[in-house]
Amino acid sequence: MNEKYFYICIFLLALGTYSIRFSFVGFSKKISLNDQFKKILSYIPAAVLPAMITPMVFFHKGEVANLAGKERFVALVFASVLCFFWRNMLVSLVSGLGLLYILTQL
Amino acid sequence: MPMHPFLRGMIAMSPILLGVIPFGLVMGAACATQNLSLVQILCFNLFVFAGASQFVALELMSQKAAIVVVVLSGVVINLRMLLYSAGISPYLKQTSFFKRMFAAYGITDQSYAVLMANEDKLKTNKETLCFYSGAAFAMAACWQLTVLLGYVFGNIAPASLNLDFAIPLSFVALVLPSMKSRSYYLVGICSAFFSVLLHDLPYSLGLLFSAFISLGLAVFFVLKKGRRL
Repeated sequence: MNEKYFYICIFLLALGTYSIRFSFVGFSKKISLNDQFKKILSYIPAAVLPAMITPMVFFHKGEVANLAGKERFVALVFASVLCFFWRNMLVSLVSGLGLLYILTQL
Repeated sequence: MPMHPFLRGMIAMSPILLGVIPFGLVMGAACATQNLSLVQILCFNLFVFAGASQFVALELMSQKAAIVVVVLSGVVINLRMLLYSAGISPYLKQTSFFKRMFAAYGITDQSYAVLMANEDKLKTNKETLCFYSGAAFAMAACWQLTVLLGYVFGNIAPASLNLDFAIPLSFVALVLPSMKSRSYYLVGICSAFFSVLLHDLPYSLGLLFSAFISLGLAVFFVLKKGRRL
């Protein structure tokens, strides 16, 4: 990877990311947020994270022919359902990795 | 004697770190595959310090995507930190500018999730801040260490374990608790649906479009509810 290209990307990404982190923390004395805006902010994880995770899993080239190579997607849905009830990191990791292991090894 | 809140923060963080360890190892191994030097990986990790966006940025940089695409994709993924920044700002009203700079650096999905889960047990702003610092410190240390381990030793776990699958799984565990009603689920489903539909667009533009369409839906829900009240 070209060094100059890498450092320019990293510098700008770091700058953008830190500005986001610092935004409200930095100016908390001057601005107070209205409730509607706070409400919109609370939707950001739901709007961004599924768009990041889903293609990564759905288009992963799988190996289980019976599931059309979509074993990761099956395992992700399974883990999500369990995680919906337990809301726990360990439940998500163990159930997802466990089911994927069983599906790929059988 | 009650335990120091900094320590309590570190301890509260430990179960969540289970999701960070495989993520860091995979990230470090991916950096090694792309032949990043140790200096490059240190800069990447210390200055950006946001795993998901780093992962996507690395992928895009390996495809030689335009700089604006790399940066914009990473920034959009990190937009959720606006929410976290707004969330912790009330505890920082009396804090010095310098300390706020550090507190901002410590904002991650994980440190915010731990803070919110323990908020009711923390009495003063000072205690909350100490607790948050402990959690953020544990997170930063764990991330830096595991990425370096992954970089030096490669992905040490056996391939049959599919450790890279831990990345989407850990994000499931992070995003689900943020969804508080049906409209959040609809926004989440919309985001997932469009990301699959728009997958063929070059350079992860599908991610950007899906995120913005879903945010639009969120704005619509919030405004609609606001009018009814």
